[in-house]
Amino acid sequence: MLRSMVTGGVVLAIALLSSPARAASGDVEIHGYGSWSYSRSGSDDNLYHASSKAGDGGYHNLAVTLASQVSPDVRISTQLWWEESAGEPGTATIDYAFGEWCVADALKLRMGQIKHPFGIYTEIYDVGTLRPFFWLPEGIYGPAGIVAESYRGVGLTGTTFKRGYQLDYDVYAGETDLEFTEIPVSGGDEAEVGEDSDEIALRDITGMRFVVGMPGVDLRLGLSAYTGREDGVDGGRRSCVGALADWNAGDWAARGEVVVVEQADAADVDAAYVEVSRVVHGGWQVAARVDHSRTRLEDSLEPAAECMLRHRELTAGLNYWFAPEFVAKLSVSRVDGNRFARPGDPEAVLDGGELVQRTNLVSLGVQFAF
Amino acid sequence: MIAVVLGFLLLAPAVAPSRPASDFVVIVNAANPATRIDREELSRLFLKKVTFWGEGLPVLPVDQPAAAPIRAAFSQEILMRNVNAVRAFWQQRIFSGRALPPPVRDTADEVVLFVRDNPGAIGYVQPGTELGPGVRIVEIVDAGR
Repeated sequence: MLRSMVTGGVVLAIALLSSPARAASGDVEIHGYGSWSYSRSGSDDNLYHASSKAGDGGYHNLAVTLASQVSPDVRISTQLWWEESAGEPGTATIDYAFGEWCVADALKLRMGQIKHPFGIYTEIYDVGTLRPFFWLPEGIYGPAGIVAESYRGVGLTGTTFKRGYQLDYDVYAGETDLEFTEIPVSGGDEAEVGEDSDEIALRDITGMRFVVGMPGVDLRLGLSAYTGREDGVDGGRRSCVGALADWNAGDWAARGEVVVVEQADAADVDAAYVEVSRVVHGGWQVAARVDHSRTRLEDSLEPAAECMLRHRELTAGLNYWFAPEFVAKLSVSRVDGNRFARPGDPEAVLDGGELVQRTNLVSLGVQFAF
Repeated sequence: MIAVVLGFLLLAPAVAPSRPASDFVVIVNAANPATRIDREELSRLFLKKVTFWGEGLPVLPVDQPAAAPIRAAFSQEILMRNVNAVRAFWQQRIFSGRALPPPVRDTADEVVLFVRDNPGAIGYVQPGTELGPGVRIVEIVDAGR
């Protein structure tokens, strides 16, 4: 608790002392971002995105990024993260801290705790000013054991060009921890999936991401994949493959991803989303998103309720951009299924036979960067 | 990559004709051998997708303030996107730990000074800006668009 408060205070002090316009001090640049949200759900039956029936405005976060170009070919970066929800103590962590040695634009070596290069949003996981909705699509970026914000290890990255095409690549090896919400199974034995934990420790990872930028149009297409060994699970291997498309054309933008996860002897997951946004007038932007996730347990496991394996969400949003670095967002979501929108104590609710499968959510928030 | 960068530095006269008069001129340090730059490569230099000149010198782009009309013109004509989109691009690069944006200088004179002081620097200023010694204009050509 004390450590969190101290670290949070340091983070705030750095943020307040830095200049938004030119956050540079000597060779060290200071940037950051943060957000605050008020969320209200249709009932108190399910917990989803820091909401309650009465409304909850206690969620806020702040990140401070420090980066320095030590020499023309060496750069170091780190990011401190502080987050707090109503009724819960604040937590402070280091998102990433790594060094990069640039041999050439097409070959850079990275070492340390590095942003996880997977899909569109993992490297900018909490940066609200780079997306049309306050919350990321839950099917892929929620506690589904699919993506991590960072990995510990080594990686190669680079960019190259050919006939107007741009290729960005990452290959990496190391270890990471995936956030995961366990799935109750019949008989009360949920240890088979999630190991009674909110995290899956993934070791001996190897992974890659390739993204191609098309000539003459702001369209990127890419593939991501990784495989690793689940710590503490005999022979438990977790493999994940995803595809992405990201298109921007002036006022219009559209993004979509599909991901398939295979977890040996436990559960497979497929998830996908599509989101479209358009700036309609001045700073006003409208957005819509369809989000989907489905989990399949192995044959010997029977879910306590089928709806615990499913997440389908439809979200509409209205944003006002004061500047590219400051946005207010309003969104309305309708969720079907309890994979992520679920009661605080699923087992207790399941024992009583009452599980509300529909969840409505209204979120209002501001997000900023400097 | 070096060959590619070297290629645009030494573009043959066969490439498309140079662009018409514009709201800005691109300047480099006089020690830089470049005389012409392809517009698409110029975009890559300012977005830090290409970070070394052909002879291995680090590229040091210098920008103008976000509200300056010349930056709007440069962003739209060379980077092919408006200033807000470029600001969002840099957010993405900063927070993913990929790159830092070019330094900003408030006036054309400061841009010229920055370019004069750094052999690998490249900037843009209004046509007619007094350059003085150590800085010269490079021609922008359309080879790929």
